[in-house]
Amino acid sequence: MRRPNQKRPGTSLRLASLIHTKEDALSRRDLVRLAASARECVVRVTGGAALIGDGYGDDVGRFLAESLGGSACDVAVLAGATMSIDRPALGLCIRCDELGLHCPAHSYGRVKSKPGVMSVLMNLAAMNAPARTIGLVPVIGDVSLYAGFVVVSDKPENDYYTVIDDRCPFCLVLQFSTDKPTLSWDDEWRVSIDYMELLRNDAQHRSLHLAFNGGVVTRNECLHVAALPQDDDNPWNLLLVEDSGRAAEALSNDLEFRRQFPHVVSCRMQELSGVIREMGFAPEESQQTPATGE
Amino acid sequence: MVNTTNVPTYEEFFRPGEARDTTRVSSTTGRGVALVVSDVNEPVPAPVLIRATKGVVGNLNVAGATSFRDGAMRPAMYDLVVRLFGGDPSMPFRLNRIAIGSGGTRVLEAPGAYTGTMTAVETPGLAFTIAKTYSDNPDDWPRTWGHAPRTHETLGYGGEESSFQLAEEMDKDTIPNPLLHLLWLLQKGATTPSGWNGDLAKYIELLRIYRDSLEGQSGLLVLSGGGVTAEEVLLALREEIPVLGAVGTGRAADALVYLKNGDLDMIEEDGIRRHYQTVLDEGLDRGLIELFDTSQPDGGQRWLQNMGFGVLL
Repeated sequence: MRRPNQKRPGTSLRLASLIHTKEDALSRRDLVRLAASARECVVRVTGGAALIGDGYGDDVGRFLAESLGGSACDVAVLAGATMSIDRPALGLCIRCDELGLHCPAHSYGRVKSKPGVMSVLMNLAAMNAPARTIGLVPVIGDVSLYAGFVVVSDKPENDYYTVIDDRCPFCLVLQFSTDKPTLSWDDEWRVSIDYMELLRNDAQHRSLHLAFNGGVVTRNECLHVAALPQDDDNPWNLLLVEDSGRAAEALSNDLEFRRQFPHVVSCRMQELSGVIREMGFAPEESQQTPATGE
Repeated sequence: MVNTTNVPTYEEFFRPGEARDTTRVSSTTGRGVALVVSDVNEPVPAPVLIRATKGVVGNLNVAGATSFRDGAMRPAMYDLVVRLFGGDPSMPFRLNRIAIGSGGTRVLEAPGAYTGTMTAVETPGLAFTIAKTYSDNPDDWPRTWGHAPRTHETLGYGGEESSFQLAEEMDKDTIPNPLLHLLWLLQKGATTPSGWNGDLAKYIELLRIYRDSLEGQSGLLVLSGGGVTAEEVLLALREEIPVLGAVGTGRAADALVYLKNGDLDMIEEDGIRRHYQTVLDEGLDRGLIELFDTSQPDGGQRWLQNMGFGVLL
């Protein structure tokens, strides 16, 4: 029998409409959870998703999770909670061909997601890390339930479709309103900053934006975060991974950007876990134990 | 083990002239009492939610009498709270780091006086004081908070130390409780005063949000009380929040016996019976009500332990 405080299996979905501009859209029970992180820090992981490139294999999320301390990660973590899936190969079956989505017979448990930074959340969950996490999913088009997946984006012009990652324990789905649900991917980082501001102001959390790869949305986020008013006692830390490609790499090499925002930090992938530890967002190595998850 | 010499007597706890002294609790953080005012139509403000519950393993609210018709009840209630929360060395009990809240007020000996008196809403500050005798580490101590409706047209400050007051007039005998880390005032807009139940729905919402966060349990302890307290029981049960009644403290707490048995005929006070009748009418889960006799506080301690609020030693 389930205990009163035991989490239900699967992803706990919270739904929020941003139409109510007078009220913030945050899930308050998750705000309580995030504020309860043992390390008084909140880390926003942002970056590459559907277009990250297959060269990283499946290990991006695991690499980032381990950089945050792996099974000892004890911060609050915000990230996207979607996964993108390549459309089924033509000829797999009639139903797959017809919709361009994996049919029930070829879907759940049989498809592989494209590599993406969002899988950091499911990796932390699989490692049983004490991190407090929430995944954020803006609704980009009509949400549909098909073949065991909650599909949030299915644009015919893309060779992939995007679903909510059901391995993420807690997920906040953002829409504008019921009849006009569509938001942009930028709303994900805007809501992240809402959470982070509250945690910084009321829970005395320190914050870190960790940017890995990414495209124009990640670039927008980094530019916004870099330009936030700097509080010397509690700066808005932004860490770019130099050799991760695309937006994070381009910004780390952008001399004008670095000159304008000298507080922005960058490092190479092999240095990442050490830099995060030095910045105080992960436990010392001696406190970390090898990950035992998948 | 509890150092009983550090548990204050009634007279030490309510020292004459120190009714507004905030240092006993808030000096641990180097701050005063944080004050948040919000409208009942707003969501629970994030600063309230986070400051009340950050890092705690449970959320206990104490409902009950904010005045006593019988003066002898004051030391009796004080003694009960001391024993329930581990201040009696024969019944050692260590409170965990929980949020412990109640009405955010303190009742003075007389209007304008500078000496406080024992009511149910003193429980958080007293429980905090006892918890400190078990540990020197502030990270182990509970977090006290209070909620109160704005019951007058205006708030005010005045008196010898320009103290903040819940009414502009100095002739009131209720002031903000000084033994809190956070005081949350609720109002129905800027112009409309509330009744004394004006804060109930929102603070119960906070208990529910905390429970739903999966960080710990929320519970309600009932010490005496009247119609407002009975309404708190009703609202808590609607949200499936467990209730602990201290039988022997009188009125709403004692009437929980009848509520649990489903027969309200013996309840004399209309305000109490009306809300408990609603509990029956709505078919709310009376199994969530636990009772203990005030002569045997260990029964209450066991409930507190089962809820994750503390540890029997």
